[in-house]
Amino acid sequence: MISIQNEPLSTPAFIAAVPAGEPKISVIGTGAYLIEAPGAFDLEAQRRIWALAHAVELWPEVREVVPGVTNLLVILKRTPVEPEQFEARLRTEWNCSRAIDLVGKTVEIPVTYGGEHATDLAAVCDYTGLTDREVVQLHWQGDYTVVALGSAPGFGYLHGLDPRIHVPRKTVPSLRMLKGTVTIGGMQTGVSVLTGPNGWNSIGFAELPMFDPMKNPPALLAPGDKVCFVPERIEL
Amino acid sequence: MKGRKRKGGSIAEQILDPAILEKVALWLDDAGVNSVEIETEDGRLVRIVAGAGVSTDDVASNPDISVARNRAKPVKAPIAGHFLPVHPARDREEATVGAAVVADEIIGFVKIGPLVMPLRVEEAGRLEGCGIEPGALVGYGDTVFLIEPAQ
Amino acid sequence: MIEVLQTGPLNTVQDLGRFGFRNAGVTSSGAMDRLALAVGNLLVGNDEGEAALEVQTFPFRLRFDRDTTVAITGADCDARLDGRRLPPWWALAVSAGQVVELATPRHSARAYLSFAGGIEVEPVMGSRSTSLRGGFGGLDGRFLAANDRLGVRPAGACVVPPGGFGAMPPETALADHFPASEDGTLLVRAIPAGEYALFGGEAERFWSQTWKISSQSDRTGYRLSGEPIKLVSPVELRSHGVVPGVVQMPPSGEAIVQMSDANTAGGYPKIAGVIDIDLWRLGQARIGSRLRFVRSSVAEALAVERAVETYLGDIRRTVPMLAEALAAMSRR
Repeated sequence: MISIQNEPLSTPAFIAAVPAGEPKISVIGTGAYLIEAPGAFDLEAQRRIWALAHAVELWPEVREVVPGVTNLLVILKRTPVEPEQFEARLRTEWNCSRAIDLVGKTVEIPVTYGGEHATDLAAVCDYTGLTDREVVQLHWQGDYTVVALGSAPGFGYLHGLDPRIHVPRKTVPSLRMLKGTVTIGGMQTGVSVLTGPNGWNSIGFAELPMFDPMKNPPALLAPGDKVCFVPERIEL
Repeated sequence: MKGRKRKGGSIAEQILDPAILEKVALWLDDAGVNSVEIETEDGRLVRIVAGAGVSTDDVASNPDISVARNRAKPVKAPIAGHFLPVHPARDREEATVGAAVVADEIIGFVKIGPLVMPLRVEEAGRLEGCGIEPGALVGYGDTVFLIEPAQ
Repeated sequence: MIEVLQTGPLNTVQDLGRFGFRNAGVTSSGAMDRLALAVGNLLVGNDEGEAALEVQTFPFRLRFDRDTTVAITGADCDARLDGRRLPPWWALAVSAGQVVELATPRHSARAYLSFAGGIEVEPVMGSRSTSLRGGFGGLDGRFLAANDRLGVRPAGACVVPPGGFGAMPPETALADHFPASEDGTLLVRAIPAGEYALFGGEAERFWSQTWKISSQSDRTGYRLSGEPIKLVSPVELRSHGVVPGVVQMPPSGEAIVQMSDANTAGGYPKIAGVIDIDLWRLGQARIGSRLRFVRSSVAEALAVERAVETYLGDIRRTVPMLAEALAAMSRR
């Protein structure tokens, strides 16, 4: 089900030109720094964020780094005595970081499209003007990259959704969406990892566990991984 | 007879250091003196009394209120420190004068550095009085409360 | 072993939290009042971060199945051991069969029960904290229920004076470093965050007005009611990592402060971040109580952190000295 290439995370694959513009650096409280890449969202900026994450997480004063969507939160072990110096180091590191491709694994996720858990499929068809068959096909034909994990344990934000099936989040969230529901939220897609309220649009269901606290690593997905959805059943 | 010398460092640490305490007490016993006063760098006095323990400052201001009250049982300070009739996290005394108290009940506190020690009733009775001002320094074994034993 | 006889919902096993997995979407969890947890552990001879019980719904009753040493810190719950009143911030030796009971506190929100050795549950991802949302850690990833039995890890000898002893509460010992307001409103120090400037003139009101902690508040976060504060113009933020203490401003204009079970990622504009060292006070704030944010700085936070470290260091050093001093005196 999962094909793993041995290389864990970082191997620079190609060097990109440094995009213009300065990153925005801000603080949350005393021990967390958020650095946001300039410009619109693209995978290029995301690759540079990954490079920055790999460099910064080795700094002795850093407790953990949390890559987001073209941004990176750096959490320190202690409040820095010289906050300006830390910010300057972060900026310097960004300026000399080069985009990297994370040589991740490829994860195949078998999906039952349609059926009882695809409660928003009809709404997705209405919004996109496509048939349910077309929506499903566009979804499983996509090649996806895990941009970041977050929101819930092991939840991966997947980039690569066909623009024809970009659908905004629902104004009224589902109150009890099952864990394993395959969803579309704006320009991203993902598999929900907790049963509960969810504003994304459900189009299918996957049995594959995305998170196991007793495993190392606990999350199935990691940033840079490739994801393929395999249509195991289509119930339309 | 009284001896006097200078010594630095935290007062709480010095008077709590059991090695120092025992050494000084032994020295007092050997020398046949009743007590020794140690002046710390911040100008405070520590008094170590042979066979009793340690008290700080206000050396003469802690009257032994058990004198002349024969039946009353004393509640004594378990250690030297500041007397607190009210727990610092509370706004009322644990027991007021005249109130009935039971054995093992905690009716006040002695603050020693960052810690708080209990002043405990040994025998049930009625709280008859308190001879120490709030916040005042008490020595080990000083009487803080008097309890009129129950019949 | 200890046995839970009576409990409300949402009481959990917590330590100082689970770190290193936020990048996988795993919240840190951990005690809402980390200072009370640390003091409780130090009083019973543990390291600061051993797992303890966080009690936030009452009444709570517990029976000891063997002799041990227990500390009760945090909110003053008028604790009783076999019906006998105990002072707050207190540690004492207990015997098998004795029952401790905590009643609803009048002022603060959460009490901590620490045991010599610490609560025995399997660490998950390096921590014994309960993640209620993730359903792991602590006692099977859930909150405590009546009849639950928990193990206590073996501890070294712990000498406790008869009747027990206590710690000076941090509110008193550190009064100079945690200022109180005259009207009882909690003062919470914070530093402007990423989108602060986008609130324009409205931002001033963030500091000046009094906020009320709404009933939609829990370990995940506090929703604050007050006069709404709006962005000058809407802004679309990409999903980014957040930490406990972040003050977000959703479109409603009523602030959300993320707490111990904070989501790892967010997208709402951030107006401020509470300084880390003030989070324990916020963790003790009750639903319905009022607070004001006070603009702070890293320099001020560092000074307060140093004072707290000194306070904890004093306790850590003095506890064993007290035991030895008492033993020395009783020998003479």
